[in-house]
Amino acid sequence: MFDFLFNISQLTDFMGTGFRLSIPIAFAALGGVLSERAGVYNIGLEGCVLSGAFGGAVGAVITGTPWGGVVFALLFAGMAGVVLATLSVLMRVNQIVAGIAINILMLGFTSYFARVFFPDGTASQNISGFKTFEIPLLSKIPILGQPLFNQDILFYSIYLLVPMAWWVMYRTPWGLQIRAIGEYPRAADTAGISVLKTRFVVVVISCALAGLGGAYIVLSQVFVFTENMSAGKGFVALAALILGRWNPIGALMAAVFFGFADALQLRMQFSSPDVPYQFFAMLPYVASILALIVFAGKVKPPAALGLDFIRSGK
Amino acid sequence: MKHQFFKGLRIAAGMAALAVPQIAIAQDDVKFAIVMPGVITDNSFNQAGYEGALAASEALGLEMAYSEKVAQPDQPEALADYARRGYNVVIGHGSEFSDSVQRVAKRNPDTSFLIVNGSEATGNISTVGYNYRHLAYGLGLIAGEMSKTGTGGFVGAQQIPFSTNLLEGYTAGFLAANPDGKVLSAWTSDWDDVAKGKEATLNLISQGADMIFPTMDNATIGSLQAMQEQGVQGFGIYYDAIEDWPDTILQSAIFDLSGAMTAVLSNIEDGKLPSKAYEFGFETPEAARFGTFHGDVSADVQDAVNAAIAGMVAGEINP
Amino acid sequence: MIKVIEFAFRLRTIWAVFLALFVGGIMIAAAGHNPFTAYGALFHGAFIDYYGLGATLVKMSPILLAGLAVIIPLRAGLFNIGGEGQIYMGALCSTGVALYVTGLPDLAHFALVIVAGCIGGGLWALIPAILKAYRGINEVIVTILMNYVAINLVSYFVSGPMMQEGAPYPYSPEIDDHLFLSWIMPGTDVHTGIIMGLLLSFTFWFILKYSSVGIGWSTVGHNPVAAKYAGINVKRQILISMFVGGAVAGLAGTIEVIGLKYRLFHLFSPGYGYDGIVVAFLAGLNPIFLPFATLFLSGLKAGANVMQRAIGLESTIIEAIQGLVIIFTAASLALKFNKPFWERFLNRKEAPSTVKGDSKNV
Repeated sequence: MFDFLFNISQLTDFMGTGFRLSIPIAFAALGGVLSERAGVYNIGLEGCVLSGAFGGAVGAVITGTPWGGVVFALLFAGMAGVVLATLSVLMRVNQIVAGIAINILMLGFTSYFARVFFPDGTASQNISGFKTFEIPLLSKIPILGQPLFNQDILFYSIYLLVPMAWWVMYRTPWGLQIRAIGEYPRAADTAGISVLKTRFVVVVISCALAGLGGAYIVLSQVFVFTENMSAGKGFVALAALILGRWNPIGALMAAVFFGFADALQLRMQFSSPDVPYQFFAMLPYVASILALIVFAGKVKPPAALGLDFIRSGK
Repeated sequence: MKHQFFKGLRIAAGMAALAVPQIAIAQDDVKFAIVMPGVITDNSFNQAGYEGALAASEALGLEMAYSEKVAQPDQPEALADYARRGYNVVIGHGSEFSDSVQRVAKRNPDTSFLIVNGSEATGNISTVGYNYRHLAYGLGLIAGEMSKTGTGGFVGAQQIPFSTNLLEGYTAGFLAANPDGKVLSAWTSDWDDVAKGKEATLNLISQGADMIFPTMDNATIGSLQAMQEQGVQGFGIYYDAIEDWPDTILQSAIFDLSGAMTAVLSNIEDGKLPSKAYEFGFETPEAARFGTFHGDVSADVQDAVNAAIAGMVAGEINP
Repeated sequence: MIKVIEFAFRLRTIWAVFLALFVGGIMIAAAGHNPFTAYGALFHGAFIDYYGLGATLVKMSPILLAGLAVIIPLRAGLFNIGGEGQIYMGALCSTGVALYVTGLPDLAHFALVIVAGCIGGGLWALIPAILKAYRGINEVIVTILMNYVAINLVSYFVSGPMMQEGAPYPYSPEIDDHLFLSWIMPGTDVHTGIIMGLLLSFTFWFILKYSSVGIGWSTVGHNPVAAKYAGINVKRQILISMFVGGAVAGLAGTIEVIGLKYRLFHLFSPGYGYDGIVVAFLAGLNPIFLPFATLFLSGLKAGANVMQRAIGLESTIIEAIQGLVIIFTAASLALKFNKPFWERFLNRKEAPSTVKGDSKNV
């Protein structure tokens, strides 16, 4: 059943699959960590991944370079973020309802405009994606070298973004503000931090990051945009960030776990074709529920998560 | 299954066959509608259905309407609504419509229903399907002959009869050409997730498969990309995919719904479609055929495949 | 004057819908269709046309129950995003009993099928409730994850052990016809499930508002610490409210099987559980308003399908419009009437000496 683990080339292939499947989840989970740390549920991650994917496709086609795709992905997902932040932060619409609304809206918008931009469906999309390149020396590391260091620039950007997010969160005044707002907004407010403004900015950044996950799917993985191609990755990211204990590094590790579970699911279908595929398909979800149970008690969500902030009367 | 209709078509080959129905449709105001589960831009099953319906409406001068992305619970309502609006023939595009059509057909006895890939033609219900085994057998033969590793690969979404027939045909063809070989299969459980299609195919390739036959909808693109990146070859489905993938596609199983739907709908009489299980295969090339061979497929292999096709048409080979 | 504005403000949800439809109308016009024809088809198809109204009510039945499945646990402070999974598990259990339990009198069998559906959904909801009550694990995430598990479980059963032999698509055999819910609008598929939904909405409105159980849940939801001091067993209340919510969702799945499909299908629910969250909030989390919110959303969905069929509008526009409507109505509901602001605004208008630009800056 697990023979492939003992075959070097198959093992590296398997790990490559696992890491590639983790990256969109990792981007979205990173975005989710930021937003939830500031006390805002971002159920709209799914819609943001989708709008990022669409932006990636449109930008790459218009500008002819994948970098244009990245810019458009950030822009489109960021705009989704502005809508979400306006609703859930400024107008105090229930955060989960606002997120669901964003998901529905983005599904409709991207599909509608995809038909405007790509009238012939996938056939007419000529998307120039990122190319993989080896990082010297590191790519020669046995087994791990190829899966981790023979990838493309968006993949590598995770190596920078995750530590950066951690550093911002735990080592800068702004990160302290975010965490304070998520734990005890009233105190933060008293200390002179603008709760609403900070939450607004954080939600927009959170969505833009999730958009990069969508851009990765289009610009690095499949080079086409198809309707509803996010296929639930934003929801999985929500699980990943909780599994990762609302910590950027933890979220990345959880995303990798999900990616590997999915890869294992695809892989085990060959070695045990008699076991119904549905059991493999539920594996990542069951695994994360179990992981939540195992880590229970040690995981504490931000205290003010999901709560509106209303400045008390002056 | 052989019908007089097909015999007639075979005799009056090619364009002549399509000309016959146009005379038959003298009555005007005949309308038909097609209800599809997915989007009409998927380069695959749904797009084939949409384009097929469009072609049939043009060829036969029928008015046509369509609904796409109709979810499971909305099926009966969509079908019944068309029936109430006076559409003569309502098509459920895909076997998942079987049960809904049966229920709606009972309540709308004056409307004819047609199920694509359906299994039961009774009352006012007809089915149209393909001999998936035969076409897949042909592809399997090519794969078996051309495979260097002796391992073929099949990627499907769900184990429904459409997919399992393709897999069984493909495997039978592969083993006929290479008795010591094997065919690996992967199920993505999703017709449209491109990334999953791609990863499933990469996995098959890393297991040694070098002849891949992907059979999903949108997700097929992912498979083809994986094949192109890894430099392995394989097969297309629904249309002559070599146009879009000149290096990768060795041959395609063309399920030409334009030909099939035109042929089926040309049987409309007095606004009704006589109930029948319409089936198409190699014997009806206007609806089901192979496309262009890739230059890598040697003349010997091509001859062997053509001989096998002739054998299947004649009923001598029954995969 | 202030009264007029206040009245207009009370109707804000209606303005929001119009605003959303206006934005959607621009998209429809951009796609080359006449928005008025399109919306005419939608409204007529959803509420006026006999069969169209039928389609609306058919959709309304499960969404109404799914909405209750959100409202009930939320009273005790639990956000149940798992309606979708509970619908699937309810349908799985009730279909199992419908197909494999034999030899019972018809009525007893029917009752057992309903109970099985409720227990299936209820137990599925109990898992996140237990994890929440005893291990403090966030129920939002567990319920989302369990949706995927449930959908795959149903998929496994209907394409494996429960699959009808020779079926062209994964579904179970047909259940016996003594279990069918009766039709209430001849010629349409509207079944008595809608009546169950309406009765339950009313019942739960009463229970939540007047019964000690409902008041206990509210206390737990508002302030679990205070509830504890008041002698309420917080954990038990969490479990019960979630079980009841899940049971109602399970009933939604059951009526889809015994009222509409008569079989268990792979992927039979297109997200009714998530629709339930939307209608619950549109109804302001009050069961008595829930039927209206649900009628509105189901009408929008059913009417949108008619719009697609009647004038050939692409389904993608319709999804975008649904999203717009949800966003605008949700936003409008969150607005609070700011009486002092409007009073100041009116006073300024009456005093012509104030520059126009000033009032904008307020």
